[in-house]
Amino acid sequence: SGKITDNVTSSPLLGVNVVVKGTTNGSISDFDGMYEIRNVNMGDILVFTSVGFNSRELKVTSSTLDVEMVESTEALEEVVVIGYGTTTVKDATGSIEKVSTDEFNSGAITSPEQLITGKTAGVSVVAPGGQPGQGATITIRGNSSLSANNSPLIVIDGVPVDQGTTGGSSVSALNSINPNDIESFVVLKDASSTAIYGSRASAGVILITTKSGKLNAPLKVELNTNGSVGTVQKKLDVLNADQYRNTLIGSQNETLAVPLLGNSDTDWQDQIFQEAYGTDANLTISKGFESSAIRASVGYTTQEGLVKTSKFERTSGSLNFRQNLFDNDLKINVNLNGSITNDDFVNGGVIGAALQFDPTQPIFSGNNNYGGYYEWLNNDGSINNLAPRNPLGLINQSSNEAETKRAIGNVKLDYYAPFLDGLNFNVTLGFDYNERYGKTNTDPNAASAQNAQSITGDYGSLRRSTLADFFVNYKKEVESIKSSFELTVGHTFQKFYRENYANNPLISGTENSTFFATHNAIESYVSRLRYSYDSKYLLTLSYRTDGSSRFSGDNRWGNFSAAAFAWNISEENFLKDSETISNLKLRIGYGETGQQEINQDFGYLPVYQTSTDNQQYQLGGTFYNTIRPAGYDANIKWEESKTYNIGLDYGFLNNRINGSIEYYTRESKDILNQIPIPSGSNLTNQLITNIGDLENSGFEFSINSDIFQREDFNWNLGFNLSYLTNEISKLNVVDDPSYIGVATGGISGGVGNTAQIHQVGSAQSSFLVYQQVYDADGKPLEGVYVDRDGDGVSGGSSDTGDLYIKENPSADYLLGFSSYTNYKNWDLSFTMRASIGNYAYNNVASSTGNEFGLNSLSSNRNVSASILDTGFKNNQLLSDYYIQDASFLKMDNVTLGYNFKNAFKDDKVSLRIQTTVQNVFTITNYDGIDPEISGGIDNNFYPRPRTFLLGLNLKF
Amino acid sequence: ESELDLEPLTSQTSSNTFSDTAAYKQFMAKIYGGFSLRGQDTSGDFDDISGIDGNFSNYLRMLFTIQELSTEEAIIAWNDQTIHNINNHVWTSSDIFVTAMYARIYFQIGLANQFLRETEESVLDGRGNVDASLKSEISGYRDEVRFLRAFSYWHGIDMYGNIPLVDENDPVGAFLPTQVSRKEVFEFVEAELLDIETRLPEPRQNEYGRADKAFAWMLLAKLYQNAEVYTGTAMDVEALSFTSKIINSNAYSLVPNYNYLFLADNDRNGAENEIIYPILFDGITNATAGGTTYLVHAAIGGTMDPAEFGVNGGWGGLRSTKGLVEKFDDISGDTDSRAMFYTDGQSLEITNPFDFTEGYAVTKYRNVDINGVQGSDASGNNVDVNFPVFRLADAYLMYAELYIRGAGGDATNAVNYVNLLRERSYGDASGNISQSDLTLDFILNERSRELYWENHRRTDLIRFGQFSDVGVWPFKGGIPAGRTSESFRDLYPMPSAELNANPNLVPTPGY
Amino acid sequence: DDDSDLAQISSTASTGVANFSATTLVLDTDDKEGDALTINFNEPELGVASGKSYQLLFDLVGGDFSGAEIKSIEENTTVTFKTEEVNQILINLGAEPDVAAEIQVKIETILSSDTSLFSEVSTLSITPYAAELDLSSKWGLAGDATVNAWDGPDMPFYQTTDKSLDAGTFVAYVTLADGEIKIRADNSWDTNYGGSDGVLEAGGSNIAVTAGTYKIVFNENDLTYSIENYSWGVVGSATTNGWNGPDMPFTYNPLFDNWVAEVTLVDGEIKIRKNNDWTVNFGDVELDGILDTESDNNIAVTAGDYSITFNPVTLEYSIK
Ligand SMILES: [Ca+2]
Ligand SMILES: [Ca+2]
Repeated sequence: SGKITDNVTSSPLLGVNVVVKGTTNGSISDFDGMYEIRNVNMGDILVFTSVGFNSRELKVTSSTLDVEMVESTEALEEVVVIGYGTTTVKDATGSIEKVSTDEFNSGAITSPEQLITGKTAGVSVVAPGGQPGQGATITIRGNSSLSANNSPLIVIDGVPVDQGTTGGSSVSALNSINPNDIESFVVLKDASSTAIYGSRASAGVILITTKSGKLNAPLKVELNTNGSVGTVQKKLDVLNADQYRNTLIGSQNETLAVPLLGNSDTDWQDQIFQEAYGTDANLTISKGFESSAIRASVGYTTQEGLVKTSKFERTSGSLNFRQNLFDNDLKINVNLNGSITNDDFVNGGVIGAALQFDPTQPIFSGNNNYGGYYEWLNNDGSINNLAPRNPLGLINQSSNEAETKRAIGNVKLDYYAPFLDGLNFNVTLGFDYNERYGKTNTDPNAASAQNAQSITGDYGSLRRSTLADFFVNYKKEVESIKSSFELTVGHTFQKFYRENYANNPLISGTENSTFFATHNAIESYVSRLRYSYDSKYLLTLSYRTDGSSRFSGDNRWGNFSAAAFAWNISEENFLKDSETISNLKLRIGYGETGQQEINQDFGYLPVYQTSTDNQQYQLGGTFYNTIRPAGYDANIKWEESKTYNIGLDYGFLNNRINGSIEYYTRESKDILNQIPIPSGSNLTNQLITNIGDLENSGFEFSINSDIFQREDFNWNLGFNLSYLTNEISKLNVVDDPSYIGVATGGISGGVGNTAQIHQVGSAQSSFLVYQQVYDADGKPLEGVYVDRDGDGVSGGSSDTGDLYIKENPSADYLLGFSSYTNYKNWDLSFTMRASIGNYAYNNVASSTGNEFGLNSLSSNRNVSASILDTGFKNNQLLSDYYIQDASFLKMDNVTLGYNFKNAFKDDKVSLRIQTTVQNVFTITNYDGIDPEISGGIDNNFYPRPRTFLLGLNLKF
Repeated sequence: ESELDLEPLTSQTSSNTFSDTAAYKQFMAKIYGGFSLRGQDTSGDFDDISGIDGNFSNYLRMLFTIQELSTEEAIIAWNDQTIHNINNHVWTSSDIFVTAMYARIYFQIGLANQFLRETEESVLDGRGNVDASLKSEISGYRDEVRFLRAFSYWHGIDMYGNIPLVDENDPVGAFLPTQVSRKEVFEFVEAELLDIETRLPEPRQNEYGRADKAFAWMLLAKLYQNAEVYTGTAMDVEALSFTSKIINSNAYSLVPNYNYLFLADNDRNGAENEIIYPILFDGITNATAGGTTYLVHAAIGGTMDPAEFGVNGGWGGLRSTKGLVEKFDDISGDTDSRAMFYTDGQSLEITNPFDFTEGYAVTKYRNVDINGVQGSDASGNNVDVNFPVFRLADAYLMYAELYIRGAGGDATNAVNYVNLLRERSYGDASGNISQSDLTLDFILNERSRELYWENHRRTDLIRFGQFSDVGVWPFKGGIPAGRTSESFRDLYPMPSAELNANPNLVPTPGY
Repeated sequence: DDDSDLAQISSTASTGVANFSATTLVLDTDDKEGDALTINFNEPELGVASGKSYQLLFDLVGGDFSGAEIKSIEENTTVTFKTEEVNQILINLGAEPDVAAEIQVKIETILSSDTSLFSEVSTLSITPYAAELDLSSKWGLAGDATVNAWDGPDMPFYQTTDKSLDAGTFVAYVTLADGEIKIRADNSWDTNYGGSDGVLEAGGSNIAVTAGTYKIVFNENDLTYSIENYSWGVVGSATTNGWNGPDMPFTYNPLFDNWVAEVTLVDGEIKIRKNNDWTVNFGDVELDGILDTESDNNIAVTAGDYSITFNPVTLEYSIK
């Protein structure tokens, strides 16, 4: 017998389990922390376990044994899902980060990935803009590929989801999941963790677990609701009407443009932007029984966009049901998530039109032509085809509405074999179904409908995948050698089907449709061995064989192995009792991963493609849909990456201060890239083929600290920092130093121009530009560039030797900073993020900010206010003047909440009210509308709103 | 594992494609259409060649860029990539247009080779669904496809000189073709044409738009006429012989109105009697911003009225330099109807090439029929105008030139052929020339007056030695007044993309 | 923030003042091919490597270079002009032959088509000789109203130095008889125009004219023409017929695009007037060499043989 107390407060602990090790002989401590246990022999080992405390094992050396329990850093005992299994943080050997509900960003969040923006080192989440529902670009530790997919594999409750977008508009594959239903994100960063996903893991893996019911839990009802309003943070800097008139005077197009000037003063951005209102409501009911549990939720979200008429609406439901049978030997878990999303998209050209439309013109023409909107006309009153269209007309006279139905579900059967302790069979059957149907319509009176071949249309896509996993897991502890083993082997098969179609019937009545369907499949054999010695030394080995239908029989199968070793240094005797160091773990890992998301399913096969009806050729008066053999690379195969990772997890002062430090390098080879091939050797001029090598490396640091832990006052701070570099090390068959590389980064201002390049020795998508020469006052001299190749000539497009690489769009450093404070019933939290060393190309300024832009093709056009700084006459697209440092510090959100603890007589009822501001501020030197530009080319950017939100949470 | 052996769903493998015997003609239509279409659809995902905007990459539009923008006949206003380097004679081996033209040529050659592989007798027999009559029809297709391959090889040696020679006996896939001399390719093309010429249908006896004997004769005549440039040895006698075959076949006659050649109904307004090889366009079935759609739209700007051209808008790009304008004594078109210029609001001199209103506009191609009625695309986007690759008038001028060069022939005929063209365009004999007027200088200028904007100019100037180190026109050399360029520019460079992909290739001297 | 990295041109970058082989120059009409003037200057030290080329801008002192004569010398920093080249520059600037002209010169360093640096202005004194213009054209007038009737050679149309006229404009100054005319090229009927009411068409009908002295303006681009009575004469107390005319006639000199009258005058005053009437008449009040229409502007002359030249566009005149 003895007394069990907390090691810090020395207060007695109730309900601690005490078991004689290796037996079922046990007891539980009482209210005073006292326990008593019979039939114990000297030398027996007692195991003390309690939720929230580290378990202890003590040898019985006397009849009284008092025990101090150490409060567990939840973090260490916390269960973490990993691929095809779970582990605890303590036993993990790889670089894994978990972000759970209470750490999520709050605010008007329509797409789940926004929940973890800024929360984890090395993970970047960048939404392409402020259009509601648009999917963010997620990258883990930088890009690992050039032309193949750089997005991490996302696995929802064990079902890997299709990584593509759904067509029509770049809508997130995730946004049909209600963020309220998500329990946690687990980010697998290093290859020793991700290699279990083999050929789909090079870009990292994110495992999403949705909320589920708990056994033996009372009926719980939770209601969440909020309302929000979004406002424009910053408008594009274009000329106002007076500036426009003044700039025209004396410009090279003065004589053409001045007669076209109007008398109005219209801010077209004010016309197209609105205050964007949003609401969100979720109701969750859960109840646990002895051997079953259920959780059900419904959610309804609407979110307007900043551009008038754009809107996102989602109705979602989720159901989780668990049933344990046969004395808990069989566990059945069913998850079902479904949603219907309605998107109202705005015409993609609206923002560009608002930028360009002449500010001296009125909104309405005063007559009824073209819906009454002022438009640029030809002399005969017909529409001037090539002029910008009235932005408000574009919004109000055309529509693009899409409905997306999405369902993701799975059934898991877990069977613990009664005949062999530790043996477990697991079957998962999952599906992902994603169907979209959209309609476009333009008012026949609209200016944009004149001369159009088609003004109505519909489009759609269908993506579905099915998954069947079968796994066997065997766990064995061998005390005699202080070892535990866990072996997992399994087989998994997933197949995908995708189709896209569009119908845009011509006004003439002719059908005009396209249809494309494709499919692929992946089959894998997975095995993993985990070994632990004395809880100190941990070893994980994994091996996966993947077969992908995307490659020919010769290249179809790839093997991906990984090994990781971890040393729980703090478990060693010399640290075990340290008051200061509560956790110290060194991890070393190596893993091989692949990438087979290469944007084509049959790149290895010679195929013929039939032309559409508007690409026919006539022979003798008969029109033929042509057939064309496509170029192909019979030898196309996986991209392969090798990652080395070393990490140190630390925890001080009972883990009040904890975090980790990581260093990694990743070498990717046989990167798929589209490159020119020898003409005459194939059926096309460029092919996607395995050609490049790429190196990424980086350093990550994170720290979390409970600065204050008092009954009434708590303050937790989290900070993470990552440093990332990438370099292309090979790009071509011929190792030719004169090979300039692959142009990328298309820009506007003339067709086909690019401002970026993939070049050996540089980071991917580096900017390739001319070095601007400035006058003594720092004003750019038009057309004057540094003669970098020293041939005495500079500035011409024929003097490509003067082009040079200036920076790249990837950040060198990413920083995240979170704070949570509560005082009594109040709590205050915020998230800040910084990005350092990311550059952007200001294409708005470069393409329009010049005199030539003021007028062309018989219409006046507004231009970027950068013309006032440069005075450029013609566009200077490749001047490095437009490559700007887009480093920034942003406060993403700040939330103030109040919990009404005793507001209701029934203390089971809790009520919380919170207010959140999103996109609170941005500090940057960048001139454009927002420095956070995915890909680095800033053009036609849909602004991100600053959102004010009031929310309410009721539980009972 | 069988679960991983998937078949494409909407594109087809070779075997199931040719299980439908209609596929052979569809495949041949693709090779004919390779000069006219952008790809298999308009999405940009199924363009024929990559690395360049799908509208730029249209074969005919590329030909115009390479053959016309490099001469005094045309200049462009846009800021598209390196397009002004062509005007300015400062293109480099990494030039996107030089690269894309090359890619287009080999795309056609690759298609033709694949067609020949797919239609070899043993392959046809192996499919089991090709009967004797179809087999003989396909045998005719093979000759036509070989003509189309020869046509592109001619472009290849004309523009690039020494180039790789690949045929249907080469594999598809990872091999590095070897470069051969311009002369070797010349001889290959010559042999091919001489072989198929005997079997092709008589002139105008094939379906409209498909190759007949006259296609092959004209290409042979072109090849021989430029043989000295291509091989160092003149073959004017052979050139005259094939030119005469065309003329003497009496299958062709001049359309009475010069402008009819360039209208939307030039397949039926009489121009079809003059045009030997048309590249066909259609407003409904061919959506492209290349081809004649480009030639009509891009030439409209300033105060021009697009409706008069049967389209919905001008693109404000192409116009002439005074080098072309000055070839006409009277540019109004009242004297010589071939002078099709628009001057209202346009200046003759060009100081800013980016300004459409500098340089006289050219009104040659119009998407209207002889009654001014717009072509078939009601929206006014895509045009119906067929492009005259070869036409009788060209053969007449070739005859006259060859006569002057001493290849034989008859003085009366030579003068007569030129005067037939001049009488058509002057409306009477007032513009007729006499034998003493028949000089090489006259012919070069007359070819420009008759054939400007028909993609002959660069080749003509090179044959007359006036393309690079001789000959000055605005913006040649990058200055408004113009200046000569280096003689190595008579060849476009082997693209750097090719040099990087294929170590067997040698850079073009000078680049 | 990173302004320190900017490639900035030194604020003092300049070619400096050019060196001239001579600052006072009398051009020798007998040595047209000889070297007359060598100019060299220093390459500007920009402080950054940038391609550049140069041109020289010449203008009369007092001008603002807006109508400068421009000579491109590409990448060279030394250039030598022949006598006739220098002379042409001066004539183009409107300098009077055989009179020392003050010329200003500056060097333009062209960094791009839109960006240039300019040197300080230097001044030279240069005396040009009279240089001839070539205003000839292929166009001419044929017809029974012309001297050589329908067969030619035709009465010539000239190019004009009058910048107010559209491009493609040609002018003929002719005395015609009653009859008809047409406009044609190269003394040949291959290209010929007739018409009426100012509008021409190819092969159009003959244009009827009455006897008189005319200025005929023809635009080959627009195919328009105009005919106006047009003659110049010297009138005044110093002339044979006094103030009432008929005036002593000027004849057109296409070599200099001006009008010349070789006259013998007595002591007295003269004016220059158009078409023998006072509708258009000129004198010179300040005697600055430029004709004007102010009152009391008669030009006093002494008896002698004179060559009077004037240009009705620039209104420059000389009496020698
Ligand atoms: Ca250079
Ligand atoms: Ca960077």
